Amino acid sequence: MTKTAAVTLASPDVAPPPTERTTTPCPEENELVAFVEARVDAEGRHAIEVHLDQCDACRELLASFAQAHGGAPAADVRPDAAETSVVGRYQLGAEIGRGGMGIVYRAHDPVLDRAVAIKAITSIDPRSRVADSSEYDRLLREARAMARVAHPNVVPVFDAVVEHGSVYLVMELVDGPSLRAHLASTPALSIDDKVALFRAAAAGLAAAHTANVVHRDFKPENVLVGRGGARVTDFGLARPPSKVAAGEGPSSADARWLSTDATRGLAGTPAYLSPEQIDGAGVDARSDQFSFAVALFEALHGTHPFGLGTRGGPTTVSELRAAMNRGPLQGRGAGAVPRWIDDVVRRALSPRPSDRWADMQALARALAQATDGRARSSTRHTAPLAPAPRTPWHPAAHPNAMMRPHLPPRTSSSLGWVIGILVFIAAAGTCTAVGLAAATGPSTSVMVETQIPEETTKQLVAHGVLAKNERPVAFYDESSEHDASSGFVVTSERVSSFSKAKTSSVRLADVVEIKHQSAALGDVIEVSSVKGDRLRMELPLADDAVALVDALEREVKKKKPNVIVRRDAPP
Amino acid sequence: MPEVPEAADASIDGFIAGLGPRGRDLARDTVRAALNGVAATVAADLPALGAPGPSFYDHLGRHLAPAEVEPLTALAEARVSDLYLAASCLEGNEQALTTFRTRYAADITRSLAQVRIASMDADDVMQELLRRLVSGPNPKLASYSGRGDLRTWVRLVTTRALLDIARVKRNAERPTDDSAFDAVAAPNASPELAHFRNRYQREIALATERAARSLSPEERNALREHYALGLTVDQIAAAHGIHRATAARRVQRAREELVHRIKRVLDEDFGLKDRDLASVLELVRSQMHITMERVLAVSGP
Repeated sequence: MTKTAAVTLASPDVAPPPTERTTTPCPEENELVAFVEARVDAEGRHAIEVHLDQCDACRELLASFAQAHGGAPAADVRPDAAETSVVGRYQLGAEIGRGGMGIVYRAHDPVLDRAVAIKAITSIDPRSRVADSSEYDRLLREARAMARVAHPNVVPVFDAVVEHGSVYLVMELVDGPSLRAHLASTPALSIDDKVALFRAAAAGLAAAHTANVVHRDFKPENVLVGRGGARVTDFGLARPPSKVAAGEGPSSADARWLSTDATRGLAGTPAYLSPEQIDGAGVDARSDQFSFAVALFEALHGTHPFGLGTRGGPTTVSELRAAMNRGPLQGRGAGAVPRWIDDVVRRALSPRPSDRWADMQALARALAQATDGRARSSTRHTAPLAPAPRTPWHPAAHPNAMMRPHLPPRTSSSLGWVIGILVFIAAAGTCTAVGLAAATGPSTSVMVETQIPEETTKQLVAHGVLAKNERPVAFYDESSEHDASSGFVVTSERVSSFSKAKTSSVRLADVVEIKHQSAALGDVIEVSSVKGDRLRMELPLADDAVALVDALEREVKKKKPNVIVRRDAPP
Repeated sequence: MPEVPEAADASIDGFIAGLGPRGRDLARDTVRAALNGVAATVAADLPALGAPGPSFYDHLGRHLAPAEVEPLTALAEARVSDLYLAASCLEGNEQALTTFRTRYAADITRSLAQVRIASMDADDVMQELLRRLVSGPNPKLASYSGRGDLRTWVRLVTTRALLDIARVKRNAERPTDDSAFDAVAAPNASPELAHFRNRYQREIALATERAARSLSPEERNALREHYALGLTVDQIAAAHGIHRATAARRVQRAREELVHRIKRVLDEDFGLKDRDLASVLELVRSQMHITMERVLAVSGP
C-alpha cells in the first residue's frame, strides 16, 4: 500500500493544479461530465474549449478518457448545424425544429433554386457511439419507401444524403405549425374542424400504409398544418420498439417515469405508443391507428384517453399499459363530443389490434360518416359504426352505383373485408362460383376468381351495356337482380358503369388506378391479371392464410349456401 | 417489478425541507407522485438496496435546491438511482459498496489500462482509487452532482486522478524535449521538397505558428487531438460531446483553414510566389504531422 500513497483525488473545491499557461481554472468533474454528455450550452462549450486550448492536463484528460472509454455511455449528441453547413448539394440554413430523431434545418437547393427542409437523423446508437450499418440500411429503406408515397397529406421526401455517418432526408419545406401547436393556438376550433384535420392526416397515413410504410411514431408533432392542409411527416424514423426495449432493459423501461411536465405537454413520453409497441410486440399499420386515435381523443376531449398527465393518472409505463387494457376514460369533453364520433375513436383505441378498425381507410370513412351525420340515427345507441366499404370496381365518380355490404362490427380486420368481397360477389347474383385458392407457407394472399355465366352476358348485351363480341370478366348490379338497372361491368378492355339513363365508360387502365384511390375494398385488391372471362385478384392477408380461408369458407357457406366455394392450389 | 409502497409523509417532508424555500409552494400530492416515481425507478435499478428513507429524500431535495429549473423538472432530469447509490456508499452501506464495485470496476480497469503507471501495481492502485472515492475524510463521491451519468463521472474522475499521478512521476523521471520535432526527418520527401524545406524552414515555422494562432480554440483542439495525440474521429467526438459528423468536419475544416492561412502568411508576409509557394504548401500538406507539432505548441492568440 505504501506505493500508492501518492494517489490523490482532487476534491471538488481543490481542482488539479493548473499548468503554466492556464488562465481559467480547470473544470470540475461534473462540468466535464456535462460537456462530454453534450448537456452544456454553446457559451459553456466554448469556455471549456478555450480552457482545453490552454491546459495540457485537461486536454490529456479528455483524450485519455475518450481513448479508454470511447465516450459517455448516455451522451445524446447530434450533428451541429454550424459545423455541417453543406449536405450533399444543399446549403443548410437555420435550425427550425428538433425532435427525437434529429434536427430539422431550413435549406436551399441551389440546383432547383428552392427552399427545402433537411432532417439530420441521429442514426447512431448514442449508447455505443458506433454507427450501426443495419440502422443506416433501415433508414434508407424507409426513405426509399417514403419517396414512393405521393399523397397530398404526406410531406414528400425529395432526396436522401448519406454523409459523415449520418442520414439526411431532404423534404418539402412546410410553412406552418405542427398539429399540436395549431390546436393549442386555435382553441376555438370546432369538433368538425378538428375531425377534418385528423381525417386529412388519416388519409396520409392510409396512403403510406398502402405503400407498406408504417409510421411507428404518429403524434401531433409529426403532423404539419400548412397551406396544403394537414400533412404527415417523419414516417418510419422511430427505432423499432424491440430495439428500444432491448437497449433500456425491461426493468427500467417498465418503471420509466412518465414525464408529465406541463410545459412540455406529453411530448417525449410514450403517450402515443400503442400497447403492442410498449410490449415490444409486432408493430403494423394498426399500431398507427391506435396512436392516431390517442391524438384525436386528446384533441377532442382535451385529455389523454388513459389519463396520462392527470391527477391520479398513470405515472409509469406499466401503469399506462394497464390503463390501456381498462379502455379509454370518459373524457372531459364527453358532453360536447358526439357519441357517434367518440365510438369511432374508441374502437381504434382497442388494446387488441384485431378489435380496431380494419385499416386507416375504414377509420377515416367512419369518421366521415360520423361527422357528416349520415350515421347518426342508426348508430346513436348501438355498437360502434361498422365500416361501409365501397365496391372494389366502382370509380369514385359514380357514388350512386355503390353497394354497401354491411359487415359485422369488430370482426377480425382482414376477415372482415375478405368476407365483404365474397358477399359482394355473391350478392351480385351473377357469379356461380367463387374460387378460393389458399396460399400457404410464406405467401400472404388468397386468390379470388370470378366467372360470369353466359346468361348474364346475354342480358348485358341485350341492355346495350356490352357489345355483341365483348365478354365480361366481372360484373355487378346494384339491385342484385338480373335485369340490371345500374351497375358496372369489367371487360378485358374497359370498365363500364351504367344506369338506366346513361352509360359511361372507363378504360381498363383506370381499374388499376382504383386500388390506389378508392377508400374501400378496391384499394387492397391487385388486379393481377385479366384473362378471358376470369379476373384474378390478389388479396393480402394479415393473419394466417389457411386459418382465414377456413373461416371464410364456413362464413360463405352459412350465408350463401348456393355459392360454391372452391379451394384450389395456388396457380 | 417489486411492489413500491406509497411515499411516506416523512419522505415528502424530508424532500420539501431539503429544497428549502423552493419547496414551499409545491403541492404535497404532486410531490408524492414524483417521489413514487423516484421510488419506482430506484426499486427497478437497485433492487438489492431497499427503498430510500426520508434522509435520502432530504439529501435529494438539497441536491435539487440550487437547480435553475423548477425543482420537480430538475428531479425528472436527475439520476436518482445514481444519487441513491452514491449516498448509500457514503453512508457505508455494504450492499451499496458491493454494487458500486461490481458496476464500475471494469470502468476503472479501463482507465488504468489507458494511463499506465510504471512501477505501480494495478490492483493496489484500483483499491486505493475505490477507497478514495467512497471513504476517508473527503470522499470524492460526495461531489457527484447527479446530473450526469455516474459511470461517465467515475471514468473521468479516475482518469484524472491517474493522469495526475503519472504526470508527477513523468516530470520527475524525464524532462520533455519541446524541440524534438525539429529534428524529425521529413519522410518520403523528394530531393526538391527537401531543398524547399531547408531553404524556407524559418518561414514555414513562423507561418505555421501564426496561422495556428489565428485558428479558433475548437479548431486547434481538434487538430492537436487528431494529429498529435492520434485520436480517431469517434474519440474526438466522445471527448467533446459532439456528433462524429461534427468532429470529422471540424478536423477537416481546421486543416483546410490552417493550410489556407499558412499560404496567406507565406504570400503576404514573406512574399513567396508561384512555384515556390506551391512547393512549400505541398511540403506543409505532405508533412501534416510535423506541421501539427507546431500547432500543438501554440495556445491562444
